[in-house]
Amino acid sequence: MNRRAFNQKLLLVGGGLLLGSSLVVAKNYLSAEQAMQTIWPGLKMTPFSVELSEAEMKAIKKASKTRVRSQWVKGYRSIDNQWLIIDQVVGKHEFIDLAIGLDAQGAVTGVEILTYRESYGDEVRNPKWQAQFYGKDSSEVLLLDQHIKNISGATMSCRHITDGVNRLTQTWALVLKNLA
Amino acid sequence: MNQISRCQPGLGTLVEINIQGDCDDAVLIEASRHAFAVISEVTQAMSFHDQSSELSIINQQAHHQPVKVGVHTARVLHMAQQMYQDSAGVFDVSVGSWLVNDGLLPETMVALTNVPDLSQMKLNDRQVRFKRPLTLDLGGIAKGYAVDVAMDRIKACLNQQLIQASVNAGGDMKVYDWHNYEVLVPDVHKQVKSLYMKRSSVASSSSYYLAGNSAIYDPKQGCQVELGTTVSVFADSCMVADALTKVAAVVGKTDPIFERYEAEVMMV
Repeated sequence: MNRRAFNQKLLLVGGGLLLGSSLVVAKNYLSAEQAMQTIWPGLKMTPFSVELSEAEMKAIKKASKTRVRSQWVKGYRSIDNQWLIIDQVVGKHEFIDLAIGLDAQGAVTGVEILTYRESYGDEVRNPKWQAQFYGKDSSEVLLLDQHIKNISGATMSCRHITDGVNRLTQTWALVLKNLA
Repeated sequence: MNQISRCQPGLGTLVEINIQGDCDDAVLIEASRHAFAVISEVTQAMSFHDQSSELSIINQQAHHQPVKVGVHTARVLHMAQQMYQDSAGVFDVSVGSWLVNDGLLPETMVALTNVPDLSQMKLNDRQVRFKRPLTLDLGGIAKGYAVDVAMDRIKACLNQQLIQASVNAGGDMKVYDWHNYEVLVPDVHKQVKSLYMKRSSVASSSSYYLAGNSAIYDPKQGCQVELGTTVSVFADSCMVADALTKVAAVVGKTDPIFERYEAEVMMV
């Protein structure tokens, strides 16, 4: 894995620090390729994408009790039907990028957050909060422990991620399994 | 120097692990894999939601017969018992029935009428026995424990090659090289304050996280604690820091218990 890709990047989206009253902070973890290497080490995988029909989307929604936002299922698969699905769920307000490994029986073999986005409102007006982002934009590579501080006390719910995993295991059972 | 940052769901929240070391990627991946694996063991053993977890089996059976638990659950229960005694009953993990009644935990097969009183729990090494039905919830201590053992795994994997590491489980966090390390703590108005780490671990509690529900109870008063501030506790053990945030929320920051555990309390 190359080192650059491991580094944390901070993306400031939305209103911007000085203009708006809220911003989205994105924390990058593994890239999709790195997630593949950690969930399926040494396995040769090729990209796939499947377009779900309306009927399939309805069936997945019914089985997982979770809204199906996109008609596309994308990621990587191996010749012996191991899967790595790259997906998005909506967290409290923002998208969270995920990679989920599913084996040939549809069992979950790994869940990695690739990008976690969080929107901040009131904090933005706090000079100390702003200070850590000064001079940084999406082109600057940041090491988390050196530049962007960890937060003690931020509660991040994993319910949306659990829902997303359920949706994708149902997507496997209803659609991907039959593509073998 | 090389580094890895990974984030996975666990312990009912998201767990973030960062490791920097003088080693190749394979070692970093292996270390993070071990750390996430032990977090997953703790999550499974001590989940209140999962009816087959060790915690659920204790809650269902320990008043009938002794229940043998795994080493993780045993360590957490021993610390919970010690903390109960040292805090004169302020830290009590048997408030589970109250959490269920207040809608903060899901209804399970356990009785909702169980009155908290951890002195009714008997521990003999890994054997747990209740003298009368109790409903334990380890949500106020297990996350900190998981962070501790995850960091232990990282240290064991990298040894002398380790440069920096942090494990953050929804705000309960531990930092390997913690001197001059800054951490952000949101106050009740969500304004963040920057604090320097005073020990290797920190845990924070605030009522704003749950919009009015603090999930911290004063067992003696039988009510939730209204937190007007965010309580952060620094200690060398994240399990201790985690547990002591609940004690500090009830008794304030000046109490001999914090000295006994070499912990520092900050209210922001």
